Amino acid sequence: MKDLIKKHRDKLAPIGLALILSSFFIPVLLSWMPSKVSDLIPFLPVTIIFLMDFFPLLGALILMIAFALNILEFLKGEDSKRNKIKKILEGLPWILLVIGIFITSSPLRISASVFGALLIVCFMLLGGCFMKIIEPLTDTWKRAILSFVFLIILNGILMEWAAVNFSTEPHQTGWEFGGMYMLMAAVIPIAASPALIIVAISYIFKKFIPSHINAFLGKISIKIFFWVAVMAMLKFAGPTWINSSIWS
Amino acid sequence: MNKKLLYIPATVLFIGIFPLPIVYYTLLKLVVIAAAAYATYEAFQMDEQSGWMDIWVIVAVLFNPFAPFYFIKALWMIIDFATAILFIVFSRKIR
Repeated sequence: MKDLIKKHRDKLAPIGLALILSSFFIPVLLSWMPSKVSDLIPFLPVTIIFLMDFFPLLGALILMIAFALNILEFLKGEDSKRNKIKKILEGLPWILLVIGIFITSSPLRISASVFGALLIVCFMLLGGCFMKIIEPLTDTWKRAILSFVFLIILNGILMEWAAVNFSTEPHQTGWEFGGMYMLMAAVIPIAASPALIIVAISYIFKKFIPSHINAFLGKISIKIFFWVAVMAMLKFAGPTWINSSIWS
Repeated sequence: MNKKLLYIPATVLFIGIFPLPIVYYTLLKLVVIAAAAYATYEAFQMDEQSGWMDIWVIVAVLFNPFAPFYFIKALWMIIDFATAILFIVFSRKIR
């Protein structure tokens, strides 16, 4: 078991994140399910609801294990002290964010989320210098997607926090998190379309395009995905933020 | 290509600060997006980790004519001015 975990250590964090994200789409499954299916298998809706609760917890647990293993590796490894601190800082805010989101009915929920999110922003600012701050965000597809997911979560948390603390209108707790997933479902296809077109062009004309242009297209597609996603998110969420600022 | 070419979008953007017919802004978007594409490639060749590539992608997305962004004139004035300055600064950075 120990060897198995050691072997697949790198996959733990993506699996954890995937489990957390998958739980958001389970309610959609439930709403799409025809009534005949639920009549035929009566325990199916209950099972799905159970999975909805279980998946995020399992995901959070896996993320924490991945984080602990990484810390152990960094402490044992011959990495430089600066890198060790950098990597620990990188993981810590994510854990806080996960704790903040999933420990409900506790004052820890909002404060840990906001604190975690702020820490991530601080880390990003400390990690680079001047314009090099934004470059690592779009270095690879993995980083671009994670950075965007983080931005969506940050937006949802801050909106929920603003609605809970400053709104004079009646607010159903957690509603902004629901909006966050709807936003994700709308923005990701918009952002992925131009990026995938570029990837397709570079793939189709691979033989005719010089290699350095191909490398350029590969790099630019990631950046286009990320920045179109950010711009689209601002376009959708911006007016809501402006309306929210009238509350205070 | 000559780096002084980047002064063209900068000039177009500076002129765009003034209230002009809508046709001018359609043309401005085309000029800026073409220049931003060129600047992105230059940034890639110069140093792909400098962050300039991201900046030009943001500029290209902001000025794209396919799904345009609608802001108030005052905000566009600020964006036009800042982008023109960016073009000038970048033209001095490239060899």
